[in-house]
Amino acid sequence: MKENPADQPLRDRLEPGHLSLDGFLGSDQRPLADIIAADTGEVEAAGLTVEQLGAFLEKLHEIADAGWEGRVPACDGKVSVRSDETLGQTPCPFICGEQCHKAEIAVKDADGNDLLRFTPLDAHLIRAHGFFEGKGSHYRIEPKELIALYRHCNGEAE
Amino acid sequence: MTFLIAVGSLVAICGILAVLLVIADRYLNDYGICKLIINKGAREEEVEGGSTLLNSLNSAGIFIPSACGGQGSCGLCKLKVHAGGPPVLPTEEPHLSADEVSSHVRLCCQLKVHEDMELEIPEELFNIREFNGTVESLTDLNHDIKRLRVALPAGEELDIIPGQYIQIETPAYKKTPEPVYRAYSIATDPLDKTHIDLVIRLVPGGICTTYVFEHMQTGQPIKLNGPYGDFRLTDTGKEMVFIAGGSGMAPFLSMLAHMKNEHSDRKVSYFFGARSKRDLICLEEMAAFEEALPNFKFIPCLSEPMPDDDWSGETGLVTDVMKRHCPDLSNMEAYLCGSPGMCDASVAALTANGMPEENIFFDKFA
Amino acid sequence: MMHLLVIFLAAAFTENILLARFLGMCSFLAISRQLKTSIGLGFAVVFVTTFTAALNWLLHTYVMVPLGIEFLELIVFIVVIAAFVQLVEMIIERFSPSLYFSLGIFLPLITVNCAILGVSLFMLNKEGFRFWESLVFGFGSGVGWLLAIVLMAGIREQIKEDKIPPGLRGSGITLIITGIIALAFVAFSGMIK
Repeated sequence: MKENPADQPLRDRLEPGHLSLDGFLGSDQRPLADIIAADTGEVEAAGLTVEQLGAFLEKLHEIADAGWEGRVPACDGKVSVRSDETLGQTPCPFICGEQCHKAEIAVKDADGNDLLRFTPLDAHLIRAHGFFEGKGSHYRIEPKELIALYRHCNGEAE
Repeated sequence: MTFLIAVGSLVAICGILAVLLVIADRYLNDYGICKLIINKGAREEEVEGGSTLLNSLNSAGIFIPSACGGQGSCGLCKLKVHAGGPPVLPTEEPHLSADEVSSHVRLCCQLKVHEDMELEIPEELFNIREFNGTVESLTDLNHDIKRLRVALPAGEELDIIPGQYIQIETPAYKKTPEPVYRAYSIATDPLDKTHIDLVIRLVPGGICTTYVFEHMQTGQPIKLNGPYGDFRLTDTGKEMVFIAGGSGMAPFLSMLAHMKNEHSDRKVSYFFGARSKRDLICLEEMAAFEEALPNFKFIPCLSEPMPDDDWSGETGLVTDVMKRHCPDLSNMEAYLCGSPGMCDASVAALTANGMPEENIFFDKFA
Repeated sequence: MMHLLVIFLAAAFTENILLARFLGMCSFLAISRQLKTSIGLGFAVVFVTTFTAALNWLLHTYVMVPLGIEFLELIVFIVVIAAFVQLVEMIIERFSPSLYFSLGIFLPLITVNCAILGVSLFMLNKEGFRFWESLVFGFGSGVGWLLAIVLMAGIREQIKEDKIPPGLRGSGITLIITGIIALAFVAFSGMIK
């Protein structure tokens, strides 16, 4: 599908060098609308909504914050989370007015294996815009993995 | 022959139209000199119309905080426009609440100056200046934190209040097409008016910190503006608790230096949270402050000490350690430097131990 | 006078540039979501069609025909329209920045709006059109386009809350509505013989 030229400033902001060094699109050449449609489609096919997944990540961030950079158990001990915070805020590239804090939250399972690393901006992009970042981007979260983690933490069948 | 006439007349028509457009542009886009009346006449500036309010104010020497260089994405450049601006633009709407709109708050990087305007600008913004400093030194404090010391240009001085922050400009490099601004708390002793010290932690994929860690050289020029922020010590004399980790130490370095200069005997406990021994910084400086300030205690807490750290100090979450040391907080003040999420978690822990919420201060820009 | 009125009515109703000739559809479909911006764009189009029709007639009669270069008319008309739209852009930016932002990319897109070029070319085909007739024809066509987009915007705002089958949402239902309005406008053809 052709990209609306009015979306070009948005795409520019997602490119490397504006809000983060590597940008949000990785090596993905698809138009933005296609990236979002493909990922939200996957989520809806699994019977969930992007709002649920984004809110879940935001909850994990909240739990991690209480630890002041220490590791905190979450979801009845099924996983543990830790947040590395940086001072400052980053505006949402979609210019919805939201400012997100800068942090990296590392989620590990009960055995200490790395499950997921995400930023508060990722949680907001998923919840409010259905954007999981382009393929090849450092902080891209594959919808499949996030859905599995969500189900694991909420005790649902995977 | 027809060919020549054809080409000739086409060129003539295009030429005439181009000239007409240039004239129209000159006439329509010339707004003349516009007067900016600030704070009910306390200050008046005359600027050339046509550019954004942010740029016009900058050219008049008034710096409004902006992290995105006028693109309309950071939402920091808010001020009140009481008269003379166009109606609220679609690019401003996402950043303004209904209350802000009704009290005439606008994003000054989006408004263009077309006529005389009446503005309301907070007083502290008048003290903000831009400096072209030089990088004096870049020292490693630990594996992912550096201390950046900037020398101000000869003859220039900056009066800071401990707790304030400045913005540094990262020039365009590698993949970045244009400069970006990032904010850092000032760690300098307030008596040293010709230097600015910053504590910078490497953020993976961060534009500014990657530049500082991989490209910045001593002796190179660096642009900064400030000082901003209203995080500061009170003068109530109450006992204080500082809570921070990693690069959050910066404002406290400045505050402790100030207390040392004043020979303050105010009681202070600084709870520094880190994961393991390699994340600790400035241990000698803290020891020196403990010597100079008899009522200051530095309490580092490691949440995940490594076995070979051989750590005999406090362990666990920093808020739990603090609760153990200070069971009754009802007459104390707390100063927190961390993200709002962490500060909120601490507020819960502090109020649970009796601290009134109005005695808790945090670095608002975090 | 009657003669000019007939030309105006024909251009606005029976030969409505959008509903009868189906020109100028893309900005029509995109902007007719909102009534306010539709009115703004509609007036901009009226302004452009009126003056470009007049200008192009003058160029045709006093420059192109005497010099025998009618074959260049397509290019020349487009250049004139482009320059004129630039002028309109500058005027709107100066006097109404919020309208300028709301129209966004669609303001410069008026340049390639085939309705505008269509008006200039149709005017040439008309027998016996002189300056005032061309001007009124341009004005009438613009008003016809304005009428169509305002009608569509009004209808779309009314049906905003209605349940429309997923496959038809957006352009689908809009085109169906356009077709129905066009049929209604055919009724006007009885007016003018």
